[in-house]
Amino acid sequence: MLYVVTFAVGVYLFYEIITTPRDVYDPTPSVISSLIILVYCIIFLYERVKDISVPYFYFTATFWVVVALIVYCAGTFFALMYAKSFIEGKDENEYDIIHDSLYLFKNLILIIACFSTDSKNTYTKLKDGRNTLNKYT
Amino acid sequence: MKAPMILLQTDRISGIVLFGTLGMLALAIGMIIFIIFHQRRVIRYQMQLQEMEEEQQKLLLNASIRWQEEERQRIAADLHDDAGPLLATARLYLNENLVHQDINTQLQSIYNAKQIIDDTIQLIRNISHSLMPPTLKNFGLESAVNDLFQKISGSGMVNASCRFHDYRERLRPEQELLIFRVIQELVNNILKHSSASFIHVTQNYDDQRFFIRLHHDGKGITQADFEKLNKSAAGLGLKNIQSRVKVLKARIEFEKDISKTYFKVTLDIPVENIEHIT
Repeated sequence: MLYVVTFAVGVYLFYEIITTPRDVYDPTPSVISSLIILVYCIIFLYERVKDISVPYFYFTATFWVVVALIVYCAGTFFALMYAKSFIEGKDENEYDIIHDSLYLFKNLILIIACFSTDSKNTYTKLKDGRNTLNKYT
Repeated sequence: MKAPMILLQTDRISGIVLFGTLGMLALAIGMIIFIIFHQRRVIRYQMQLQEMEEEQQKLLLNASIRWQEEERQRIAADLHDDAGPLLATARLYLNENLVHQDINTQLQSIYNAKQIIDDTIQLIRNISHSLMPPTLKNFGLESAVNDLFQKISGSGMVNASCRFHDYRERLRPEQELLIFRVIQELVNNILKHSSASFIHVTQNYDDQRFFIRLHHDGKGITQADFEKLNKSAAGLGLKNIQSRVKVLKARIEFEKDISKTYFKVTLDIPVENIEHIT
């Protein structure tokens, strides 16, 4: 099902890129891609939360990458949707503030992802001693 | 007129975007926080479960050690209190003064000493049999259980019977011994605590499991009682049953029959954990 949706959205986006004139901004593809990414991220998180064999999932790099995507896509969703109005109203400043701050925030979270430890190691450490457990809980 | 309209619309859109963005961010962050807290709760729960399991393991280990110590004490007592005096008495009959006695007294002494040594041999044989029943070793579980039940029936107090429906191939000796000890402990408990008038054991084997079921009409326990006793410091025999069942990778279930007249205990061993003599 997910593959079918991905393929359909991919085809639509490709069609939009080809058919939309270069000087016109159409927010629909951006909004759809944001939505799709959000939905995929939520499904992914749900599946990982269900799987209890991976303890301390939130210490993994994958988790923080997904968090970065969710925050960025959720935060810029409305800004992208009304980007055309911002451009037409010559009020690009507000768009820039929203977009740039979230872009920065996303990159910061990605840095956290780069430094996050492996989940299994963390769990082993936790099992090894209560002192380590207290540190995290 | 058009400029204020555009300004008004821009303000409206700015508001929508601002609140929309804040709302979406709040939702996203809320969801992430929920996931983190949910995971921590799950992990804490798992840790608690693990601790409980460790506690249970410790109880079983303690019970097993205690049982071993009690068994050693029993054997030591048997040897010290029964075999020791018997051999000492035999030694008295065979002292060095015997050579100065007349032939009749000598013969009588030797006869008495022989009797005592025979008794001692029988006693040591009994101790050895209680440690490892020879019937079990030589003829297998079915014969050992039959033997045990014949002895119980022979007392005339309890009617004990057993029927092995499908025991064509013998199990590995370690498994047979474990199963036998479980049955022995269950029967012991029934004889000690339940005032039953009959005990009946059946064995069956199907595609998925090997099971032994024990019925009796006395005062029995249910699964809840068994688990409660297992978690308490009391119930050494039940803990031994539990640890043996664990070694067998089996399942034991204590229940009251649907008719509410009998109690039954089922030892259920999955076929994949059953090992036959090759």
